[in-house]
Amino acid sequence: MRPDRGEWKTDKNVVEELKERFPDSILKVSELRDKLLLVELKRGDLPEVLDYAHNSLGGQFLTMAGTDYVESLNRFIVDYVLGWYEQGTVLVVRASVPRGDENFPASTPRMPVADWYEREVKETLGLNPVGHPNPRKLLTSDDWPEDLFPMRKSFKNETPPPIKADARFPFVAPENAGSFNVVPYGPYHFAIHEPIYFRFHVDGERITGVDLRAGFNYRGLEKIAETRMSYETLPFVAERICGICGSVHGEAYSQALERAAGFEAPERAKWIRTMMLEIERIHSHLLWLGVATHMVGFDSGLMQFWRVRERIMFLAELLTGNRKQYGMIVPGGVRRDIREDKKERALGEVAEILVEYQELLDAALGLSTLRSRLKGVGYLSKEDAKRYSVMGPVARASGVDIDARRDYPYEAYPHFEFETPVQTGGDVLARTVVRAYDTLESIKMVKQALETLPDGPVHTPIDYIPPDVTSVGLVEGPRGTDVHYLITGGEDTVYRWRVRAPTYANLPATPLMLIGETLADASVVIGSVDPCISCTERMIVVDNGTGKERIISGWGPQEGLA
Amino acid sequence: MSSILKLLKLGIKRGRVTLRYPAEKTPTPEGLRGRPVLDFDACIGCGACAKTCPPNALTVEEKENVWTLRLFYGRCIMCGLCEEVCPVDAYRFSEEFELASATRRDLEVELRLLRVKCKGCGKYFTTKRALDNTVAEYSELADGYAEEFKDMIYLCPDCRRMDWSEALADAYREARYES
Amino acid sequence: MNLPILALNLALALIVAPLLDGLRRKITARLQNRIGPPVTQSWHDLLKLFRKETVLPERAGFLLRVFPALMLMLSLAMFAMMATVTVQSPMEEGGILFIELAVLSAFVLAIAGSMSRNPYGVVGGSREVILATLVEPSIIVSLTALILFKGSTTLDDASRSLAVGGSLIVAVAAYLLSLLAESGRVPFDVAEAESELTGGSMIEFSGVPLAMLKMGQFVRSLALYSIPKFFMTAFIPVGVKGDIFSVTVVALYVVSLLLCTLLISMAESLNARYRLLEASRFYAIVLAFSSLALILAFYAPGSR
Repeated sequence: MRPDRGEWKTDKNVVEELKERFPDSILKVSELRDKLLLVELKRGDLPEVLDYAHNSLGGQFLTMAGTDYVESLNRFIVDYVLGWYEQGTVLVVRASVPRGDENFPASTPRMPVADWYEREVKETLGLNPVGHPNPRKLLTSDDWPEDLFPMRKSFKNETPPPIKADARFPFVAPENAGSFNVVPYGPYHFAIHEPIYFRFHVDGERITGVDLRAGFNYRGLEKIAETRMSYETLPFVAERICGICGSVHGEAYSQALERAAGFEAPERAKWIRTMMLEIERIHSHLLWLGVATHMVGFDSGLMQFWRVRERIMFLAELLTGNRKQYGMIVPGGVRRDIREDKKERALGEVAEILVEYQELLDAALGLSTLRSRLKGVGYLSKEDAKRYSVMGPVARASGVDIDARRDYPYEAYPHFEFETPVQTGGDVLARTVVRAYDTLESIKMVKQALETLPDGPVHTPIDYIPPDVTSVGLVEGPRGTDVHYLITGGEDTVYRWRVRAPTYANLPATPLMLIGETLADASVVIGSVDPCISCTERMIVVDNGTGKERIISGWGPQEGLA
Repeated sequence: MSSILKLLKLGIKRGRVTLRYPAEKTPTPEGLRGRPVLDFDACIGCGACAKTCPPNALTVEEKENVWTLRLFYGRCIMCGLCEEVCPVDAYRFSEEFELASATRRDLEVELRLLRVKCKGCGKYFTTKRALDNTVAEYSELADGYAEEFKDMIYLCPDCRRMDWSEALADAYREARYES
Repeated sequence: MNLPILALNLALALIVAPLLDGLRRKITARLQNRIGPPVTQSWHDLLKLFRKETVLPERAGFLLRVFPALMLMLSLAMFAMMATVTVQSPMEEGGILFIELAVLSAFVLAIAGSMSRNPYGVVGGSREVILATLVEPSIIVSLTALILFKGSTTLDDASRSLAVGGSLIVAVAAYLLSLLAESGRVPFDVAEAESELTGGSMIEFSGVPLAMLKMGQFVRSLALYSIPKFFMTAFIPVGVKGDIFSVTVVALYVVSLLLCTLLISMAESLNARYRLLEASRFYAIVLAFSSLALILAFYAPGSR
């Protein structure tokens, strides 16, 4: 099932390549778990090694995290995580930053995708990325003091921040935008799901530049996880990072923790987990299809897609007791079993859903007025998609064939037959088609899961979770690969937990799609990325590639369709 | 054009899917996670639910001779951990999910239990119900040891520790004498 | 000026206009498998707006309060020029003025948007002006065709034998297409694209001014939906000048309203929104068609 991509040219693995090329820089190599490797460097060598690994060896940038070890080890560490989908390998590149000398060379100039991550580390931990082209605030509010770092262990959760009423965010007008009109999009906008603030610089109807201010959804969840939650209660927080893709986060966390403990969930639990993830994918894509059609004025599309979606919500309710936030996936397995009679009923529902969905897809996507709105808009080339390590349907619509279910197989996926649709159009229509077919495959997978459900327990408690283990969980969510990075702690909770939602990776590429488009199409283009601001902003997300602005605000179904 | 006809057909074929709520209600499946209902008579006041509740919807206040459990449904995420950990199955999930209210008090549940004093130091240390529950269970389990250690139940953890240490010291002294 | 009939027309306009909008919403809902709001919903919405406070931008000035009232007055004035449920119209020779009022009220909305100084209002306003400039000619042309067919500028139902046949059908079709194009609903609501422009030109209005603006829109739509009746009464003799009531007229009026509402609803629910360019192309076609109708009207036997 893994196509030949012709990317990986040698037989050697990643670490061997790096050791060959940088023999003096690499301090230590260790294999944390199977295919999860750790390489330690001196911080001065970071940009070069990462540049080689990402740009020449073709790794996807997965995430970056900074951790405070000041009390125990008198230093901080920064971890860059890269992944090679073709091989199923994950590499953690680690460097230490000593206390008192809190800076490290920024990798953003050579690797633009690292932009947001390095800003986040600067803002929340106080580690300064030297040479970063755009070190503005990312997550914290305008009046948060520059020298107060929430993710340091010394910062107590309950500390109330000082209030400064007149603080303002320093917006930057892009160089080539000229002195044209500024159209604000947000933070309150009819069409925005979640609060986020874009400033478009427009020339008539054409967008010439964008600046973005996000962070309205910053909830400090990672801090809460470190201080107030335990391993057992953390999945409930993880699930609530996002209202649409909650299970994905619960699963990624459980996967990371189980990998750290060297634990494998029972078979039946794996099947049920897979089923819940696919159900979530279906509902998320149907939601998106409805919203995208609404964005272009086709409200009936919204109604019809959401009508089919109601059936999936009912299915979820049948199996888990709730339409969203299932509370199912926890470390060790799942919390609820599926009774035979419910299983039979679920199979019936799935069969009907398949029929209704195909019928609707046929009718809706054939509509010429709809297609003409979606075609040729918001183009993203394959090179740009790879350069920004874009994920999910956005990547697959630009010809980049990555899918964590197939490339980093987890849960029951190795046992299922499924296709990963890939398009080369790179425009909004291509993304629509990719999502539409993704949904179809997911419905078939749910059916497979129900039919081949094995017997056995659904949960076995994890005996022992060793402390100080770095682990990564990778899950293919509806929007792309969700990466949870964690370091286990000693007191029944995580020492560090870093969530990198796929939207965090996709949003930086959005300006490339937007500049040059008209205002009318702005919503659709932003929408086609399917941004989940809450996921992105479990930390704040601010997106600012290379001084070019970003546009777009979320969009969402609107009430009062009069 | 054919797509338009297909859409028209869908509009007619699938009938109406919305309901005249609240006169007509959405059918909910069995096992819906509605609000958890606390059985006041069963609760023994151990506090395990409050310890585990992720959003702190359940809180315990211990003041003098009163142990108070507060459940605020406004914070409840209906996860069911309280049901899982309760040793006496005092929580049952109902299927009520229509919990909107104009007053906060409608969503607050308060349970007060009496606490008992330690026979050793006189501090309040547990609820009467928890104590009775332990006594009842202990007599079943403690086969052979019942008489000697039964008194321990009525002591607070600090006094128990003291008692044990003294007993240990006595035993040691005796052993030394004998040898 | 026949005052009783005028009063009747105005009362009818004010009461029925929101109901017709409610009916449109109901039909759209049913096509989308929903129950939809009750037909009186638009009334509820207007009344709710009356109770809300009016918040206007600081720099807007008093003109912004004037425009909604102006819009409403212009729309209501259209009802002085034509016969609705009666055979007679309140005012003689009102046809040309009717056309002028229809076009003017369309532009009032656009200008109001630009006056709000809100970037969305300005963009919406400018879009509206472009569109109105392209669409209104079709309305003008097809209404002129109607007047030529009737042979008089009085919009009443005193029957004259008109030339029936292909030319009249073409004129009706042209008018209906023009109506669709200028309705400001999907697929033609570029100017008000809610999900893109947050309501465009109406963005800064609230409370009573917004209610008047909406009411003005409803009334204007009602006036335009009443026109097909005149095409229909060309076929059917309904009475002579002097008659006041006629059952046939009432029936045809209702048919005319329902037909237009159904047409708009169906177009709205079965299409996506056109972009400016595509919409303009459609408008060009409609204009050509209307012009054809005008030419036929000019040369149809029995006209003038």
